[in-house]
Amino acid sequence: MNNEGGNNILSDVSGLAKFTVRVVHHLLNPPFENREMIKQSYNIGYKTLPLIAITAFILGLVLTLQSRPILVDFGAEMLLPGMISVSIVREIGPVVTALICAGKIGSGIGAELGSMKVTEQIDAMEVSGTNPMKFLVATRVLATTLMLPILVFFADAISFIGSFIAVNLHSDISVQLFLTDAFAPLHFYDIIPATIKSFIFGFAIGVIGCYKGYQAGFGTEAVGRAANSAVVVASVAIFIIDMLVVELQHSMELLKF
Amino acid sequence: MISNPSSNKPESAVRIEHLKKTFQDIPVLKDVNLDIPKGENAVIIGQSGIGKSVLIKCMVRLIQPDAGRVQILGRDVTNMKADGLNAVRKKIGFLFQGNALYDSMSVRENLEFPLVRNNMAGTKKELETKVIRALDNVSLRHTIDMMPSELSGGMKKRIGLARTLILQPEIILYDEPTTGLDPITSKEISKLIIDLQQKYRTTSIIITHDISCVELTANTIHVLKDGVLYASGKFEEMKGSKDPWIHNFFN
Amino acid sequence: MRMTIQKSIRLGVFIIVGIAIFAYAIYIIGKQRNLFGNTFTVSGIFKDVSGLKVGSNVRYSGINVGTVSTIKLVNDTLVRVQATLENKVHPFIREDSRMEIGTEGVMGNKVVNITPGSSTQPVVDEGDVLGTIEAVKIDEILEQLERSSINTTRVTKNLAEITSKINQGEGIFGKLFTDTSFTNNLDEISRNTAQLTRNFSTISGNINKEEGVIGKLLSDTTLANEFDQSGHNLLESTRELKKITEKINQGGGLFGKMFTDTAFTRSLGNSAKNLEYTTRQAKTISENLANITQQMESGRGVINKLLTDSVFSDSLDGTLKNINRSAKELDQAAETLRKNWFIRTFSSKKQEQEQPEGEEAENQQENRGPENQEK
Repeated sequence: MNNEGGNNILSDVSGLAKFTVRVVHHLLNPPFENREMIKQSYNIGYKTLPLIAITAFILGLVLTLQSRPILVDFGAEMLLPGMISVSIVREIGPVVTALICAGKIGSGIGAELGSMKVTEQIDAMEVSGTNPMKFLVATRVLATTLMLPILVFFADAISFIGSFIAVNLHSDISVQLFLTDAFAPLHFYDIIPATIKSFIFGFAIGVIGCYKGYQAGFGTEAVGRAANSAVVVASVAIFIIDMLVVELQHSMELLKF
Repeated sequence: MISNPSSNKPESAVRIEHLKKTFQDIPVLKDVNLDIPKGENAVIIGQSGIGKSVLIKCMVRLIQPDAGRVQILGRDVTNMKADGLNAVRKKIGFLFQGNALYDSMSVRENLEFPLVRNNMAGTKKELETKVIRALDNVSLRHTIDMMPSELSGGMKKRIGLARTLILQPEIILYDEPTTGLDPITSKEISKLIIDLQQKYRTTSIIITHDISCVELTANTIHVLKDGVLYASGKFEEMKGSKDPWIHNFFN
Repeated sequence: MRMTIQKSIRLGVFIIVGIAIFAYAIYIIGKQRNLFGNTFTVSGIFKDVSGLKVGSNVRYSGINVGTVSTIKLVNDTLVRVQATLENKVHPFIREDSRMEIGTEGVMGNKVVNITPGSSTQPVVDEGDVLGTIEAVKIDEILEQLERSSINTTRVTKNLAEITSKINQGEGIFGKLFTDTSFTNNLDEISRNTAQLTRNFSTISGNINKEEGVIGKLLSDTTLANEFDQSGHNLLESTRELKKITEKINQGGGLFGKMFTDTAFTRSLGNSAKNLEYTTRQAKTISENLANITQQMESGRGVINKLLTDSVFSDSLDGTLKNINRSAKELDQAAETLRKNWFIRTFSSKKQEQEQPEGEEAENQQENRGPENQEK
C-alpha cells in the first residue's frame, strides 16, 4: 500500500529484500502449512511438467541439430552427445526451465496473490486466524523452491531424448552409446552447482511472484501489473543469479573444490 | 488497562481512543474517539475515502494505527502479540466490501476455512452440520459445491455473511455490505443483517453510505468527517439535524 | 481445489521420478569416477605429466579401468600420480606393469596407460608404486625435426658454395683433395643422410597412407620413438656435415692432387650419387607432407583434428617449410655438382657418353618437385 507507485527500483529492491527476510523467517519457524504446500507443489510442479517437457524436448532436438555442422567440420561428430549434455546440464536446462517457470508460475502467483490482495481475500484470511505469509507465501515459495529442481531433472532427461533423436537423424547410435557419450564429460561439478542453482531459481521465482502479488495496489489493473512485473523481475533475477552462480562456480573450480 | 464499566453505563464492545493513522504524509484519521456498547447496531457514515474502512480495519488490526488505543471487549489490541490477537479476532466477524470469498475454493471450503483454521472444525460430521446450518441462515444451501465465480453478487454477499457468522462472533464488522447491489437485494441484505443480529445477539458495526441501509439497521449513527468523529446520534436526530453537511447527507 | 488422493499420487510419482533421474545421473557419474564399488590404488612417479588432470582416465589394454585420484609434486622434478582402479583389474596388474602417460585420441585429453606385466610377477598390492615410462612428446620430436632441417639448409648452402667454387676453379679445391679422409667422410655422411631421409620418407609415407596413422603416431610410442630417433640422428649427422663443409669452404689446398688420384674422384662421384638419392628422398618426404597438408586444408577426417592444437600445427608448419627449403637447396647443390666440369669429365671414364644428358633430364624432373609444392 505504501509502495503503490512501485517504480523506484531501489525501493523495489529493498522491499523485496525485507520481504525475503520475512519469508525465510516463516519458512524456518513453525507452524508449517503442509497441506497447502503439497497442494501448491502439485499445481507448480506436476501441472508445469507438460510445458517443460515440450520445451525441453524441442530444445534438445534443435540444439543438437544446430551444433552438429560445426562438429562435423572438425570431424568430431562423436563428441556431439557430450557437448549437448554438458550445455544442457550445466546451463540450458536450469535456465530455460526457470524462465518458463517464471513465465508460468511467477505470473500465476503474482496474479493469484495480487487478486487476493485486491479483493481483500488476504485480509479475510488474516482475520480468520491464518497468517497469510505462512499460508499463502511460505507454502508457495517452498513449493517453487522444491519443485523447480525436479522440473529441471525432467527437462534435462527429456532434452536428452530430443538430442538422441536428433543425433539419430544423421547417424545411427544406440541408446547405450549415446548415454555413455553424453555422460562421459559430466562431472559432479556440473550437476551439483546446476542443482543448487535450480533451488535458488525456484526460490527467486516464488519470492518475487509473492512479493509482486502482495504489492498489488487497488483495482483489477493492479493484478495485471503484479503478474507482469513478477515475470519481468523474476526473469532478470534468474539471469543475475545465474551469472553469480557461474562466477562462484568457476572460482571454486580454480580452488580445486 | 482493563476498563471497568461503571454501573450506569453499558459494557462497551469496541472502544477507540485518540486513534491516528497517516498514509504517505496524508492524515486519514486524526483523532478518533468512539465507544460502541455491546448489543448495539452502530452505523458509521461518511464520504468515500474518508477513512471509514481504515477505522474498522484498525479494530481487527489489519492496519496498525500510528497512535491511540483500540479496545475490543475490554482488551487492548493495539500492541497485542499474534496469539492473543487471534483469540480476539475469533470473536470478531468481518464482512469485507468485496466479500473476499476465496476464489480457488468452493463455497463449502470457504465456509470450512475459518472453522478449520481456528481448530473449531470438530469431526467431519460436525463440520458438515455447521456448514449447512450457516448456509441455511442465508438460504443458500444448494450452492454448497459451487465455486464463488458461479454465484451472483447478492449470493456472494450472503455466502460472505454466512462465512462471517460461522464462528459465531460477538462483534460483526460490515464494510459497505450493500454497495454494488440493486436496491431490492440491498434491502434483503439489510434485513438479513438485522435478523442475524437478533438471532445471535451480536454487536454490529456497519460502514455504509446507503441511507436505506442506515435507516433499516442503525441504532446509533456516527459521522466521520475530516479524520474525526463529527457527530453521533439516532437516525431521526441525524435526519433532523441543522448541520448543513449532515442534512445534505441524509436528504 | 481440493487435494484428492489421485492428485497426491500423481505428485508423488512426479517427485519420485524426478529424484530417480537425478539419482541415476549421480550413479552413472559416480560409476565413471569409481566412487562406488571396490577400488584399489596404485601410483607412479613421473618427471612430467604433460597436463594430466585429477579425474583423467586410466586405461589397461585400452579399457577404462579407473581414474587419476591425486597428482602431487614429490620434489622439484618429480610428480606422483595416484590412480584409483576398479578391483576387477587387480589380478592383471603385476609388479612389473608400468604406467605411461598417453593421449586419448588426438584431441589432447591425457590418459594414463598401464601396460600389462609378465604373468610370472606377483600381483601388485594396494598403494604400490609402479614403474613408469616417460612420455615421448610430439612437440619435442617436431622441434628436433625443425632443427635438423635448419642444419640441412646450412649444409646444402655450404655444399652449393663449394661446388660453385669448384666450378670456378678456385685454389681451395686443391686443398680439399689432399686429404682423402675428408671425401670419405663426405661420402659416408651423405650415405647416412640418405638412410635417414629414407626413414623419414617411410614414416611420412605411413602418415600419408591412412588417416588413422596420425592418431597412431601420437599414441604409439614405438613409432614415435623411431621418429624421434631418426630426427635425432639427422640432427647429429647434418651438424657434422655442416662442420665439414664449413671446413672445406674455409681451407686452402693442393689443387693438383685431384688430377692424379682417381680413387678420390670415384668416391666423390659416389658422394654425388648419394646426395642425389638424398635429394630424391627429400622430395618424396616433402611430397608426402604436402599431401598431408592438403588434407588438412581440405578439412577431411581425423587429420584435421590436429588443427585444433595450434602449437602442434604451427611447429608442423615450420618444419614443413624448412624441409621444403632444404630439399630445394639440396636439389640445387646436386645440380651444381653434376654440372661441374670436373665430375662430368672423370665420371665419364666408366660411364656412357650420353649419361650427362640423361642426368640433365633427371635434374629437370627433380626440380619440378619443390616448385610444385610452392604453389
